[in-house]
Amino acid sequence: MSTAAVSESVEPRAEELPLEELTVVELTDNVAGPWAGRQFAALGAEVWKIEPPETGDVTRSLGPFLDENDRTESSVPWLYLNEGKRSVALEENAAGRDALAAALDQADILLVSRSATEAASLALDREALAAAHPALVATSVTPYGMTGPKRDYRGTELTEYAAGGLLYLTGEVDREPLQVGLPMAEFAAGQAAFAAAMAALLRRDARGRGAYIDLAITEVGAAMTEFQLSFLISRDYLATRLGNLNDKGYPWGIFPCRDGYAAILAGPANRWPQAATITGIPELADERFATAQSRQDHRDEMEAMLLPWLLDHDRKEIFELGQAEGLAWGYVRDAAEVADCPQLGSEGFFRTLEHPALGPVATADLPYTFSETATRSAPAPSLGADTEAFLEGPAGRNGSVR
Amino acid sequence: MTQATTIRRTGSVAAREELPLDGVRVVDLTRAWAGPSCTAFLAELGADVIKVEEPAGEGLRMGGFREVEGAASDPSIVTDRPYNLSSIFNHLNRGKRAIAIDLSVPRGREVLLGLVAQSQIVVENYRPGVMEALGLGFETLREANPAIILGSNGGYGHSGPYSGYRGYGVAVEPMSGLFSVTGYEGSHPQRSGVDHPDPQAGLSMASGLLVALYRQRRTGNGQHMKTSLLRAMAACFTPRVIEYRATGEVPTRHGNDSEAYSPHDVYRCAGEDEWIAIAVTNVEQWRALCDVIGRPEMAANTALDGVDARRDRREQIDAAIGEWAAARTKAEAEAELQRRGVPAAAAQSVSDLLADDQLASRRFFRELPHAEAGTKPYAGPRLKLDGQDLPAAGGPMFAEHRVALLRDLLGMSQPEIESLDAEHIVPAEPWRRPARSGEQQGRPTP
Repeated sequence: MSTAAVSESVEPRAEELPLEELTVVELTDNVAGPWAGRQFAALGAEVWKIEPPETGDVTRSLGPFLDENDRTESSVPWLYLNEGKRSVALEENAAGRDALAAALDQADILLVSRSATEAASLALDREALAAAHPALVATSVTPYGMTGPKRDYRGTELTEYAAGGLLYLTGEVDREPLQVGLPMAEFAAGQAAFAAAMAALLRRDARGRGAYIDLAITEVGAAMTEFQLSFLISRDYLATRLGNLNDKGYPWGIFPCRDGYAAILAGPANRWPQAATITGIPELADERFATAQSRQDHRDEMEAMLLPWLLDHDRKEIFELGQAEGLAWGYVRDAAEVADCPQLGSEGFFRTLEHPALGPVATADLPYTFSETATRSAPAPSLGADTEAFLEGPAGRNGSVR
Repeated sequence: MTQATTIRRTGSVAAREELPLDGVRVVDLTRAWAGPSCTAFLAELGADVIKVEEPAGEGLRMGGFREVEGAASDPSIVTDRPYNLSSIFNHLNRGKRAIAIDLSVPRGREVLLGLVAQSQIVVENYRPGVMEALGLGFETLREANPAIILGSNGGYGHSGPYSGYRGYGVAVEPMSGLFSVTGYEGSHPQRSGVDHPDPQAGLSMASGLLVALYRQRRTGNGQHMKTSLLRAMAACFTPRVIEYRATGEVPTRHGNDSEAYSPHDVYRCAGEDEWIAIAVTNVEQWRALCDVIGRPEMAANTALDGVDARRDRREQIDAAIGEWAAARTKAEAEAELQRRGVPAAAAQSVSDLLADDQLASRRFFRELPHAEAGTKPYAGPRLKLDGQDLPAAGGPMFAEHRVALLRDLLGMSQPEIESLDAEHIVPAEPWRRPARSGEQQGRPTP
């Protein structure tokens, strides 16, 4: 551990929540919008999640479920993505729309994921919001955005990952493209939406004007193919599926080892000769494997040397041996191993929340930490738990409902 | 007018002074992918990002593909400055100003602290301890600017057992758990095609920095925000940890299957390596799908109204969809299904992205000029603001904004600026300190 690490680990953490005074109204489903909203809640904002009264947010229908007898309240994605929010069951009728409009007068931020046509019918499109709530920071997160020929197209993680160019790149070349096991297009879009909303909030505070952010999940996905795009644009090299290899170099991916898969890479590049020391295969430090290009050119030869060694060693051992020599190696960990990760453990990243019905449920802190301000967590709300409070609070203040 | 204003010359629709981060200046010490992708996003939102490189230039300037191929045979193309021609560097650093500073010498640090004094945010992704070793720890930055916000991104974290470890996206991704749940049914773990940790950490970093800036505007206090590639990915993996903690069962790999939706798969279309992804999320969509693929009897079979029933009959249903898909292009299949409200999308290659009419209509790609690399399309802003496109600008040449920054921001005289160049402290051209005496010094070779 470095000295810096020691001094930083004793930093005091204040109780102050940085977004304490903010009010957020959330009309989103799936993962992206809720992930943005969850961060507002964890940072102290009051987040009112509007849900259809009968079924609740679509996320509630996504498994796995912690209680098969009460799926609505026990979906794992729901519980994680909606921590610390308040649930408002609201019909999309005239009364519901009035209540929503009243709340938007009080709110700082609206998170919304309705298609162009739906948003317009609910007066939640850009023009209507700008006219009725000029100081509101509205953030729309939809599969394709609110403009263009596909603005009303529907999407899910799978189709967004496909449309953004990510699916085509994942999997084996002789098989069908493969989704990854986490909703990464949605998580990335939710992260971008949160950052964009924060930026617009800064402008609102400085200039007094609200904003309308129109974020497309497929575009956040497409932006992540920036290496592959640059290969195509600059050199007419079209990236395709490469299995567990990588077109950024060789070795640069995961390889089988004795007890699973290890990540082996020639990074940092100048450390690659250390692979000879680690493996006891002096040839790996040869001149013919010295550059990125020459390693690519001699891929089969290198693999023939590396594989027997890998198959004779365990994942964690390979990771530690590489790191000890300054090579950024790693290994494939499963959920049990990630849950017990000593690094994340030392950061107090994973936590346990006491859920009123489900008992202790695992959860996690945010992806970022602050030296001077805190985060908070509270269980996700049951459907409609805060409807009354909403109608008497943000939706009631100007008397349009009561 | 500073150069930050003038370089935003292309595709500008939103007025410059109305961008969300107008007036926010960022000193960007990051390298590689995560950090630069964070600051590219901040630049798109209007921040004045000053990219500070080492005197030899950021490593990525010599990485990836050159934007100009066959330059040797075309005398009109400048070829002795290859460090200005990395396509990926130019893309990742679009919209930023560039300067190179030798931070290992006192005068270099002074220049940097001068920039810090006129900024709100400093971002870095050195290994833990390096900033302190350079004499640029958070407390030092604070002395130069009491309200400064420091953002640090690491591979595995800034304290704790792995903090000294090197983290590259390609290895942190399997460490995050993602590959353990990615793979064809019954088969081995599979990597993602793009390496998610860097872009995910980049957006997480941008988020944390803007939260810190919001608080700083209210209280006047800066702070130190930290993230890591591992933490950014672990936040996405957490639902799998919740599941494991609750059930004791370790989640595994299920191809393109979904428990919530059915059909939910990728089907081969006419042509070479052409595929359509289809995800049916409710019974209305299921009936519409049956109609589109010409199988009304499946729609009429109420036994198939439930997701579980359809999953049980997957083989038969997939065969019917597969037969239909094979007879049309992915674009035709997508249009036919979406017309009926069924979530479906062609599995686009990056080549397809460049030709995509939806992305084109939203000006996702921008043709941006670069004095040496020529005009190329850049993948651009991923949002529209107030119904307008965000402005976009290309990547900076090595030390392109050196004079403007030293003169206009730090008030230096021409002789001072020249001496900083002559002493290789703020060089005009890449310079590498000789490793040993007797070795020739000068520009790095490609």
